[in-house]
Amino acid sequence: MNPVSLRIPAPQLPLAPAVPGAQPAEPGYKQFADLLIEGFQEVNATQNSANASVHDLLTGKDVDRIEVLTSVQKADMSFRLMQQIRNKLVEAYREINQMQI
Amino acid sequence: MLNIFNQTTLPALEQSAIFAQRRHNVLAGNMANIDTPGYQARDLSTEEFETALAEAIEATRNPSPGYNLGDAADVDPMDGPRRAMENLLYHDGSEINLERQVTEIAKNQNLHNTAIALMKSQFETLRVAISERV
Repeated sequence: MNPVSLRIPAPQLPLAPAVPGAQPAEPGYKQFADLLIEGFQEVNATQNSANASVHDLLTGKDVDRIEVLTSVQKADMSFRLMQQIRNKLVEAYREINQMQI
Repeated sequence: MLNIFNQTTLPALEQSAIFAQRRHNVLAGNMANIDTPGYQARDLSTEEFETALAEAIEATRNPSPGYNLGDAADVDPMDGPRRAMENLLYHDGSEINLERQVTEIAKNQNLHNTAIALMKSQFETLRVAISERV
């Protein structure tokens, strides 16, 4: 992997506290919640388009079988990624919740 | 009844797999009767099925305004495709073209395999969604 890519300070990282209505601390930085919602919407859109292509295939429209299969697999993979990210987040939340102060 | 499969492609895939299975039976019947004198080759219309399926998918996506949960149990949107499977087509002429039958069977099998493969991955995705941790 390109070592430079590891050193990018990740402009998407949650620097601003996720207070509702709070402005991002610096312009160009995104709220973590917005980032998540965007990701979920993207997964949803991928799944919807995969479903539409499956329906097109079944109703005899002119679509490539291999395109349909790959788009379904892509949608499945992005959904699993979303699921794992969610699992990590829930895990982190639980850990913070149980922390002794 | 709340049906978690209605928003997926599973109902359509199921009907397509059933259609492929029935069409295979019909085509295999043609092959078996290849030496029968006066036998008319039979087939199921893929066009008719596809049109009915497209209508059914459209109906599931945009339920009619008077739609309520009580109706949903009575009216199955997949009734159209199911009816389309029942109509046998009879080809004119008793000559059965063996090559044509074999080609149709191969195409039909291809559809069946695709439908089953897609179904498998859809069920797997749903299972992942339900089981939280995989």
